[in-house]
Amino acid sequence: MGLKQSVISLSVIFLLVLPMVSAGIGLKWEQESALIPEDSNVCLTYGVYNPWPSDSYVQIGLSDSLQEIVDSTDVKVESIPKYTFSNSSIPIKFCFKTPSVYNQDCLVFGKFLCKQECSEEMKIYSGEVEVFEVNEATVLSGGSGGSATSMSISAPLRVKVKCIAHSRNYSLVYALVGIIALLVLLWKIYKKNIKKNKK
Amino acid sequence: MRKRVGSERNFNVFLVLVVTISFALFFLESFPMTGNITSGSTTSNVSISTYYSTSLGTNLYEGINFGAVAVLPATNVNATHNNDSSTYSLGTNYTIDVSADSNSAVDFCVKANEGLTSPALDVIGLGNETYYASNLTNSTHPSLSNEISMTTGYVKAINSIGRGNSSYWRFWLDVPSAQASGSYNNSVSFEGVQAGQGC
Repeated sequence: MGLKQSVISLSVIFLLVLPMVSAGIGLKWEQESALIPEDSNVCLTYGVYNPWPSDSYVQIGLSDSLQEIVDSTDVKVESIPKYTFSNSSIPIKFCFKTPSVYNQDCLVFGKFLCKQECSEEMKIYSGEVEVFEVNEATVLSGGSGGSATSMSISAPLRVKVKCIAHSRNYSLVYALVGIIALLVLLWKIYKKNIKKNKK
Repeated sequence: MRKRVGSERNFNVFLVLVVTISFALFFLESFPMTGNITSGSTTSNVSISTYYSTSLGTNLYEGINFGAVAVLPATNVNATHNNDSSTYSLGTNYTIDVSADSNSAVDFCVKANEGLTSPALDVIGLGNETYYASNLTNSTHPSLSNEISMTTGYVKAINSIGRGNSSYWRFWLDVPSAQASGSYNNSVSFEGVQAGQGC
């Protein structure tokens, strides 16, 4: 056996006898709830870190209840290097867009000349930001077998949709009246000019 | 003739007034004016962050193995690392650790995806796989007398493991007498949540 082959064989044996070292996952956040008006956006940043002595592979996601309002995420992190401490955590941004959830009292086509009284209960989307460690170990089955294991951590998040009360909005009526009056005025000026030219 | 020209002029003045007032009202309604703040003020601000990191101990990361069961029925079969701690005499070697780089205590939740299942789809019921977690370990803790059956939904298993500390776990399996031979597997998931939060 050549020297090169011996080195390769020893390396393989060394890797095989190395114990599987568990990596860890960490999560840092500064906001657990956000109060935002309906039909608007908010972005929240979370930090992931790994102070443990092995690199870890992660999946980051939102619980189902928050999925319906998530607008965009920049979850690109797949691995967190070992000894990434909380003060140098890797930022991950989640952006949410709240839907229109509160009823409006509208006079025209259900869309125009609306007022909002905000008599309904506040709509709250509650859930978690979840970080899953991807476990590369598989259970060594034999006899009765066993259970593969995985670890996750989470941070609570509540997105509260703020209702903004307002009286009936007549801006459309003002605009229409103004436009009609302007058109009549322009038409009269046009007619007058034609009359002048004929003379 | 003069009277007609006069009334037409009045009508034109009226139209100009309508246009002006309409657009003024439209802009006032659409872009409400706000007053200037004339008094001075300063803001006080505080940012509170929460962070924690957890890691499965090496043996738990590798999976929960119950070894080969030769005689049926078998009751309270110990998982292979239930009693082989090198640190605590006869303690368990299944741990979940909370990093010192945390500022919050952590509660741990546990669930299984299904009962232990063989490739032939024979199942050892979920109620037969049990666990208990403790914040200390020796020959009696975590205690078999407190065993809890696995469930498919997360259940809080232990509360308030402080930064730099560990939770200690034991797992047991009951195998009924009529259980078919085979290798049985499932997945057990652990979730760390900020102390006091739900699973």
